[in-house]
Amino acid sequence: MDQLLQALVNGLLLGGFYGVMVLGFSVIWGVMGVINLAHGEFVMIGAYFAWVLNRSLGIDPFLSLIVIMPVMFFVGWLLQRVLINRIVERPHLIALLVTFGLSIALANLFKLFFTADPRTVPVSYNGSFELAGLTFPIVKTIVFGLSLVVMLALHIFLQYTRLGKSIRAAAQNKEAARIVGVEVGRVYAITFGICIALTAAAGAMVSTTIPVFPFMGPPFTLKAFTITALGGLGRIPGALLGGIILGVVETLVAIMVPGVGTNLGIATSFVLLVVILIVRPQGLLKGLRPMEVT
Amino acid sequence: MVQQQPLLEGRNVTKYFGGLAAVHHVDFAVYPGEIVGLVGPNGSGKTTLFNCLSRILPINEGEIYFKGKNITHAKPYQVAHMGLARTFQVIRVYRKMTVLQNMLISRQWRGEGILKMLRPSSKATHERARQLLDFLLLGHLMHEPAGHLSGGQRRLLEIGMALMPDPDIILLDEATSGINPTLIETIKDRIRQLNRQEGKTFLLIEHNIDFISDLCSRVYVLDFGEKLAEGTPEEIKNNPAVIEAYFGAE
Repeated sequence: MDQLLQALVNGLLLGGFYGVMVLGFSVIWGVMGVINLAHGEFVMIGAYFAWVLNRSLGIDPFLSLIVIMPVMFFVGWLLQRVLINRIVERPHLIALLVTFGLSIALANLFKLFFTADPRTVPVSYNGSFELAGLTFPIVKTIVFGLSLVVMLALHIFLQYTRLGKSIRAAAQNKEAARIVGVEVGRVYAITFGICIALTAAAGAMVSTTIPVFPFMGPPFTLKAFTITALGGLGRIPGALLGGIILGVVETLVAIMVPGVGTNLGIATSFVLLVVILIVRPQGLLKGLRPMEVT
Repeated sequence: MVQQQPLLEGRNVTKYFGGLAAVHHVDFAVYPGEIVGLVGPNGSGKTTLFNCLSRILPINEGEIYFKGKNITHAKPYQVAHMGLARTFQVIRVYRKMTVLQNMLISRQWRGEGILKMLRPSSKATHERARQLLDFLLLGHLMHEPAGHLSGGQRRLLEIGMALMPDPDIILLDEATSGINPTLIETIKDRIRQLNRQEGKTFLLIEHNIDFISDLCSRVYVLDFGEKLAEGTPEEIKNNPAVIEAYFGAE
């Protein structure tokens, strides 16, 4: 029983991270209709960014978010203007091909600069604490807490700011938004910038718990599909719920089928995705229907 | 009428879909303070012309002028900022947002910087939204999700959204379609008030001839993408070519 409870806690903590990791993927898909197959590579870039700042300047990976998020917002904004803008509102296949190419290019570019050697981002507080007989790893608990803060901030941004409302309007009805004066092209660029900043932030956070290497991205992209199918396009509570479901299922499977290795997580994710698409092709919680950003 | 510069003018406007001319060499002009009707059988190119005017669709030939400026290659948000608003044949409101939020969306973006856009809507914007909702008899529904409104109420909301940025001209695409007679009278009354009291100009696509006759000073008739006739509602009603287009030759 204790083992089961501990697995649930671990799954919950992992799910919080998944929730923030998937947001960028989910919102870009929901608002712009672009399925970003390079999503995982932006997690990787965020992780490398944290590693570089930690190694060269000794900056704590969580503190480095203050630098990483604005820089990656600009990178995303620029990328949207230069490349992604050309594939928005075009057939999905074009977006898939372009972002797939981008993912390969980014991974290999980072391999060229950083080699394929795994890197670790050490933190001094890498222990754990006990609460109600359960063990909470400090780093993973911080990641979970920060993920909730980021999700709450995004929710407030989308609900209460004029820019956030413009993003929601563009997501729901682009033509109507254009006709009332919303600069949808600009909204797309800002949305992409925000999403890349969020994704890179997730990468910086996860760099404290797993090795960083150029080809770490694809599993995150694959999991993002599953979580989006579970939680819905652009839905923040859905992202958290979908992340937690995947995190808990992965953790439970890992303790029930011991000794299979970390790849079981990816397999679990895919089995879950296939089951969802067979049982509820529209996804759980309105998963793959057109979005209403909340 | 004293001839002045048209508020909205199309010269030789032509739009092809493949080899089909949906709008073909259409000339028209709408003057400030007018209510002008645009009628024609289904598939005659009325909505395509609206889409060209509001810059949702690019045109293949011709030029479009708004307030004397050539907007042939302008973007939809640019003509919206200049003061051209429109509604759609199929109502487009944000169904999950409240009625008030729908109204506020229509005044979100005026080319401001990102930091300014992080602020909530101003009190003045809220106040304008409330006044317009009261004017359109939707004030009591402002906190309801737009998806909960009836078709007629959603139509009124869409008109309200078009009015939010205080446009100079409003293009209404079948504003009475699927609406009960009481609400049609409300819409008619509000259009008349906005025209007489605030000088708003309207271009209306309509199938409801009584609606057109009651409101419009001039009417254009399209058929197969071409301008078939123009004149007062009475002239149009008695035009043999128009009668033939609607009912066929005897």
